[in-house]
Amino acid sequence: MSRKVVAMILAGGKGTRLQALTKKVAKPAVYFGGKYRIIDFCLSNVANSSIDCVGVLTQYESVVLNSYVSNGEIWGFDGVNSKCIALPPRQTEEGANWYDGTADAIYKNLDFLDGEDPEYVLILSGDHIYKTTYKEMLNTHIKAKADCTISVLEVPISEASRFGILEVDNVDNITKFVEKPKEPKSNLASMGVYVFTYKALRKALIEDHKDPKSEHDFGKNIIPSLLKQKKKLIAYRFKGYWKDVGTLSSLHEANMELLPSRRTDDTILFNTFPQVFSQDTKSHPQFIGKNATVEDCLINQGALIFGCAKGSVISNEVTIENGAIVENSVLMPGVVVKKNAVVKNAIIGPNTLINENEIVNEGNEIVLIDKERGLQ
Amino acid sequence: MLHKVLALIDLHNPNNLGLLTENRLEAVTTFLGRYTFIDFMLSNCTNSEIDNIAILCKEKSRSVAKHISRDSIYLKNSKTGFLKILNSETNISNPLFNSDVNNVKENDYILYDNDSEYVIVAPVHFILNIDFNDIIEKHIESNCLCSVVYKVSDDSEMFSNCEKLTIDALGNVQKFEQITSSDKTKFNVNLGIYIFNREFFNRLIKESSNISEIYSIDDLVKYNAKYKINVNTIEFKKDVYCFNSFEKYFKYSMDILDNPTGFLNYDDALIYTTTHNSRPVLYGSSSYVRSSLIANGCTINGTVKHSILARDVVIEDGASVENCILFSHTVVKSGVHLKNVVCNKRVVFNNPQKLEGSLEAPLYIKEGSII
Repeated sequence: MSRKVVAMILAGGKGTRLQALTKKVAKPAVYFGGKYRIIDFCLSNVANSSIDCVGVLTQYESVVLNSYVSNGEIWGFDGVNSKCIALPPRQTEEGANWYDGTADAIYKNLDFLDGEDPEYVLILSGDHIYKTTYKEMLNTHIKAKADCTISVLEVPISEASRFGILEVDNVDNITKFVEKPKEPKSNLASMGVYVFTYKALRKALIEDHKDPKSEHDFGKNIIPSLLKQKKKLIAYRFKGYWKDVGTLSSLHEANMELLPSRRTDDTILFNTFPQVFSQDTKSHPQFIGKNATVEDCLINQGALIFGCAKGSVISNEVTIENGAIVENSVLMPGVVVKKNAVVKNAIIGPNTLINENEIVNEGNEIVLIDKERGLQ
Repeated sequence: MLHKVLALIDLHNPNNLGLLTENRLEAVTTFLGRYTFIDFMLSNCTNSEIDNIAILCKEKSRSVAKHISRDSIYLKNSKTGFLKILNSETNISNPLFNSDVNNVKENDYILYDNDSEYVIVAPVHFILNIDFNDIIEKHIESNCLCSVVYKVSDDSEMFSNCEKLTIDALGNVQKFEQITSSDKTKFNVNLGIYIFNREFFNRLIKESSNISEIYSIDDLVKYNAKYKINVNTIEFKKDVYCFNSFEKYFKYSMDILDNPTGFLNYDDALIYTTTHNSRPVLYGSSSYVRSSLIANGCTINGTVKHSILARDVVIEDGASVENCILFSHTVVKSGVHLKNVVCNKRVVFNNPQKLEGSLEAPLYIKEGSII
């Protein structure tokens, strides 16, 4: 059975800058917003786009992510003719090789794509926070009869040198792509979201595979190569909230942006279409104790709050004991803050114990406390 | 589970929680903001690895079907196991004959199409964390064909409208009697949980019409205990809450708020329920929340004291609720003050006002009202 669109999500990266948070899980599996994992956003976006076939390319510490993706039931991909499959590297007749670059990961799964026989392939990064449907982008691509459409975000020109930057003509045909330019001539940053016409993608990947000098990267190799071949590449201008939570401070900031006090027109609203789907925990409702204070917080079910929580994102199965204070912090699932402890400006990793009377971070810089630190 | 067991969740004798059960059964009435009563008995089955479950419905099965949206919520393996909602269709308009026995008879494939060794019949109005593995082992040790589970208590208020058992020296039931308010010393509360050897249960159902065509399973056990067999008793020693009236529903829900952790930990057993993809709770800068259970999806900017809020409830800045149970999608707008109120689903408190019931007689607001 052929399909109109198959989505492929690149979810194999470590996310080194998230430090201990990605010690045992890949970045897309990192917790976010009290209830979610980062990959929930793009998988929900795919589901909300009525795309019913998705491959998730995993590599680094893939067990948690493979298990989480499972058959895609969380996002509704367990329906008739739907498919959601984790695609870690595998042994083949040619031997066993890791994915060597984003393009190589897709190349090594061309057999999967051939089996689905799609007209178009949507390639996504599994580690960005944004809500959308890809329908308009796909329609733009189809209408323009493009070989590749790249979703772009207008960023301040002062920050453009941190991104892959696209230069376009007056009708948004892409004329040039430069990875992290020192002197950017455009403010259109690639979001790492691509729609390819499958035939064009397939040909480009096979050619790229044969090139010994290639780094097998979409930004560095595939896109420049297609431009060189005068293929039709267009930019699709994305409007709305989009965040790369690649560092501790950006992860903290993106969590804080969910709080009522930070609400703007761009704030992610989980309950409105397109909804963000996530695994539900078997937690009891959250309980706020008789001496507790809770102000400006996002708190998930299963939490027990007996102390004070202000300006914080608190996940399931977190306990904040009597007299403890948590401010401007992100507490991941299973954290226990014991009596009279103080946690400020911090991200506390899953299942971490903050000891009685302990003071976490008296400074203003965001710190990560993880259970791997050992008890202090 | 070492032994294969068929569990029958019996909803043929539903309790009346007043207007709360006007359109739904008690079994699927909101409890503690996130659950319904049937979730607890179904979770007991799940946690005991019982994968063959039938829910016997007499009426209002629409509400049950709505709640049990997917059998995979409660089953470990939905291919080898089953969770079915059963009705006695031929007796739907004839309440006298619409018994659990006739329901099982009409759906007797559940008895014959599986190889269960034992059958458990259980109601839903007792909230307890019971390991059926233990119960089955004790039943086997007794060498009896049928056992009944009881709880020793002296709380005649909690267990009003329940039955007590008189037990002989061999541990068999001598008689079943109604608990009265004059019962001050310890008594054995019949928890309505019966365990049968499967062959005996099959025979009981098959031959029931020789005794009475309108008898329930409960009636058949009592008849057999009186005239035919020894019915063994098994004591359940952990906590039991009984919810068989609107007053108890409110009172014991409020009591749980005073000591929630013991109850919520539920001996570390998980409670399974249907979920709704709700986001975590948003607390605004002006929120003041104390001693309350809050389900996901709520947005709180006002005051919430000693209350239970089900999913997607909105409490605006300048509103307050105290000693209240608010069902899902209730909106309490600014200037509204509620005390001792039980509010059904999708009520909007639009206009500034004070509404107050008493702890003994909470005010009830019907589903979908605009106040």
